[in-house]
Amino acid sequence: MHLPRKLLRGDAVIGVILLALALWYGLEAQGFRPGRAGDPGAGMFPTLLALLLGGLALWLIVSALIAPPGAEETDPERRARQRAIALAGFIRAAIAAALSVAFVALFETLGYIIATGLYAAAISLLFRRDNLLITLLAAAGAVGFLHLLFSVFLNARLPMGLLG
Amino acid sequence: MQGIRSLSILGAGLMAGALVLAGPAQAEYPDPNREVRHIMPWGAGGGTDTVMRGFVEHLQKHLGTSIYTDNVTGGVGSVGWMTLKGAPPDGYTIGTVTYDILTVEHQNMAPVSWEDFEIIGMVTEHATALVVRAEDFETLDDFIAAAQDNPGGLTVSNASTGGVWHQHAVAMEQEIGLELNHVPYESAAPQVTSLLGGETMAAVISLPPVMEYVRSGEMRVLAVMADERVEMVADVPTFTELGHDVVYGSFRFIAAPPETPMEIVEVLEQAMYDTFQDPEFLAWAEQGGIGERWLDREASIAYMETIGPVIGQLMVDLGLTD
Amino acid sequence: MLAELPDAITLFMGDLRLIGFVCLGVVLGVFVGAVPGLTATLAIALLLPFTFGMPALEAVVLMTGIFVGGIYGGSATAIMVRVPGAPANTMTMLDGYEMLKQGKPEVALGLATAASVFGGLVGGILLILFAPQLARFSLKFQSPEIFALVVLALVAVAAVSQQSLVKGLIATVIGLMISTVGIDLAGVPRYTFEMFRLYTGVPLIPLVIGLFALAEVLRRLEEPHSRPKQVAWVSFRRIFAFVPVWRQVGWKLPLKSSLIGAVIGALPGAGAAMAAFLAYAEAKRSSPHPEKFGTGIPEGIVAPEASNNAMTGGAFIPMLAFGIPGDAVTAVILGALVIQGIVPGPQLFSQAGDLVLPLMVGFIFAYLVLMIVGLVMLPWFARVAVIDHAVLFPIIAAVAVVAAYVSERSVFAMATMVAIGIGAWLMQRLHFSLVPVLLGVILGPLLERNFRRALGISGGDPAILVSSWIAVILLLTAAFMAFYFAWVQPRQQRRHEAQAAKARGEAENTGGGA
Repeated sequence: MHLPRKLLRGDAVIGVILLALALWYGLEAQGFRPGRAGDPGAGMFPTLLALLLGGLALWLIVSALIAPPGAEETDPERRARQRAIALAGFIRAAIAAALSVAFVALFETLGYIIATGLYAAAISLLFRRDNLLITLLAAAGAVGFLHLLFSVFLNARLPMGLLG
Repeated sequence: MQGIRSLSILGAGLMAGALVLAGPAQAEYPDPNREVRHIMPWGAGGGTDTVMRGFVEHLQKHLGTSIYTDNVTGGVGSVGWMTLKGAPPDGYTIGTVTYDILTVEHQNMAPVSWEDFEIIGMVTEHATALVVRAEDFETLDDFIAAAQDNPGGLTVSNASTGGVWHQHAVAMEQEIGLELNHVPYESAAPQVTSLLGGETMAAVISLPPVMEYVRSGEMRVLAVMADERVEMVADVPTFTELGHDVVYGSFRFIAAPPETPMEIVEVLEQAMYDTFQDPEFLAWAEQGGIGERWLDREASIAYMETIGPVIGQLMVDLGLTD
Repeated sequence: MLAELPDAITLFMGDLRLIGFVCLGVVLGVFVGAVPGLTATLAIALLLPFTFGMPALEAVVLMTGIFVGGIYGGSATAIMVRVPGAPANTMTMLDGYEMLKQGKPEVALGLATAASVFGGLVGGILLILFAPQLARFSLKFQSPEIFALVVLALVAVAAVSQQSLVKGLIATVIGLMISTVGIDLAGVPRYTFEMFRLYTGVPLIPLVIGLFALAEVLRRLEEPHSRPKQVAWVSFRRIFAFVPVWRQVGWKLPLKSSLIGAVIGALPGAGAAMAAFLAYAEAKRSSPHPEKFGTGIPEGIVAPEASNNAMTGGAFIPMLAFGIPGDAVTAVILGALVIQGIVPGPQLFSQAGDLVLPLMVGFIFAYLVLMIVGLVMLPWFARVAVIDHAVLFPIIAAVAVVAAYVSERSVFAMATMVAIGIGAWLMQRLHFSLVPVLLGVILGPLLERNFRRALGISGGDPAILVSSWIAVILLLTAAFMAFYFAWVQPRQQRRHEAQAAKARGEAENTGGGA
């Protein structure tokens, strides 16, 4: 059940980041206009949340520091291989995240047909690159499904962009 | 192709009457093959959306081309109005403008004002009303007496602090010289349940949400903030009649983007006028109790010029802006 | 009102168009509900213009069908791809997806279908029998009572974050913090960074899509690509595979969950997600083996699905009785009613024969249709598992982003969705679960507004929060359940584990001695 030791040290770092978040959030709340009559005001709930988050962050840090070290892979070769797999996965997901940002930026310029086609194809390639048919299927599936769903079925208008 | 097009324009023109009046110079607007986008700054299925969708449904017959409603929501309506402000001024984009644009303007939420737009005409107006449980108060004077006995203790609901009914409640409070406890809710519906359930003593609200309870005798309208009596509740006095100068209401306009050519504005205005003569529309409006009221472009602008500064001052008094 | 019931049934059954519209609505609803980011609300709103020309009853019955199908449809996606179709299906995802991983998608889907129909029917029957009484009762829920109810619902956080309580609580607080963005009850803009688009807060639909759909696609990309697990091709003969499992669960849990759902539905503004949270927490509390929740047990599917469907029946009550919608969907249906010239209110029940009773009959009929539609579609839903991830997830990602656009008609909503999706993916990598974030976002505004409003009414006297017996009972229940989840249950679990370890040790010892 014990999480690996490295992660627990990681938890301490997260705790510190959360502590900073709580501090900023709480300080911001002090500037809100106070309430009238019996209303405790706009800052009350955020201040409470900031205190709560601060306390929880401390709890996380302390439990990360006092937790017993977990079992770690001892064989250096296997550890290296595990790390490589994890890193490759992280990179794939990070590329997909960047693609999503690009999709949003280009959605109206390109129009939904071109944008979704390219986006779905790119995400599909991140999953596997050995079969072009699969990639095309993903792109066509995404465009076809969206078109059917929004334009035909629900009569919602989507930007056409270059094709408009 | 050209022949078919002009034929259908002729057909649309005959149907609407507007184009016939406007003469051949305007034969190009509206092109019956081009749809008009109606920007709706409030969510689909809400009160304003339902009423205005229904209105443009009838309007399109008289305009001679189809109109579709596009819900561009968020930011207390400002996202939709910013979109309308930036839309091409060619008559193929129009939008609904509601009371809240005054709130947005005076609270500096977004750089948009009703003056940015070419107002086409008013569609609805609701006088604001003071509503209580029938068992609690008989007349406005009873209410005033109770409020004076218990300064700051009498609870009056509104649908969001700084919103339309809060503004009007404060205006009433100041004019009469009372001190009330304003309780904000999320919309009109919870205002009604809180009054029924006894959590609040009164509601400052428009009439449609409470009419059922007024008819059944559970609630009573003490007075309306209109310049003359409201047909729906003809036996209820206005505040003015009772000696208090409190005249407020909420409204919905149709507007076009800034710098829309006057010829196009006139075509749209004529189509709106014709819609208000259409018995089919009037029957629908009455059935739904939408509070329809027609004011043409000139009268609408005059209306806004009167109410705009008043609301601005009210917001300052409320402490909601500086 | 009951005397007119046979007439209403005859009227309904004699009209093929009405039956047709119910079926159409249900199929449409299931389909739309199953797409992440598309909810019944959006579908009804988009179809609203088409209903203007229709007779009132037909229009309303069509929408009821979409409502019913939509709530159910979201559970299929929750089970099959670990993306809830709507917030109300989030709890179903926890055990449903685990059951899929055990290779039993047809059981999970069958349980969800049966629980949905059961819950819906209970809700519908309560609606017909007790609508006026429930309506009167719901008026007792004013600000202090709703505040107490939300406090009780927050206990569900502890029920879903057994893995690491502190991380579950942190995730909830982050959700609550997200919910404070926007203009507050007193007109004060908070955390809006001067962006007018944020004045109405972080939009819910893009948030849910980002939190679950996009984050899930990113998470899948991290795993090395593998052929879809060898899930058997589910044949039509397997559609009743859930029946023995349902028998094992019994009738008490679905009944209890349905009652919770119907009551929550009758309260204005609480909504389907809250019904599911509460039913899940109560199912776990009363279970003899609470530690198994989240590992793919049938109770974890039955409780939330029965509850959120029973809520649909309940949600009609405040709408018909006061013209006050119980949730977003009934709000849209209400708009359609008004446009049709029907004004809900107390008098609607007295002239119930014309519209209300046929509507209620239509509602119950919609659930019977759902049972058939659900079972017929079950094998097809189950077969989603055999689609290659390289085809399935790109489509989910594309639909998710575009659905975010459609929900608000703005690129800003898409950008919000992507930002939240990336944040959620990172949180998940750090072993924070995402369900408590949604819980916080949904319950946050209810919690804060009702608390502040109550104090505003009392002039700052906190005694108002315990001024009614309903509020007191709810708060005491919340305290009891929090104590149970935080103290009693972990101890029981540790004792179980210790006993199991000891038994294993003894077995080893004796084995070694022999």
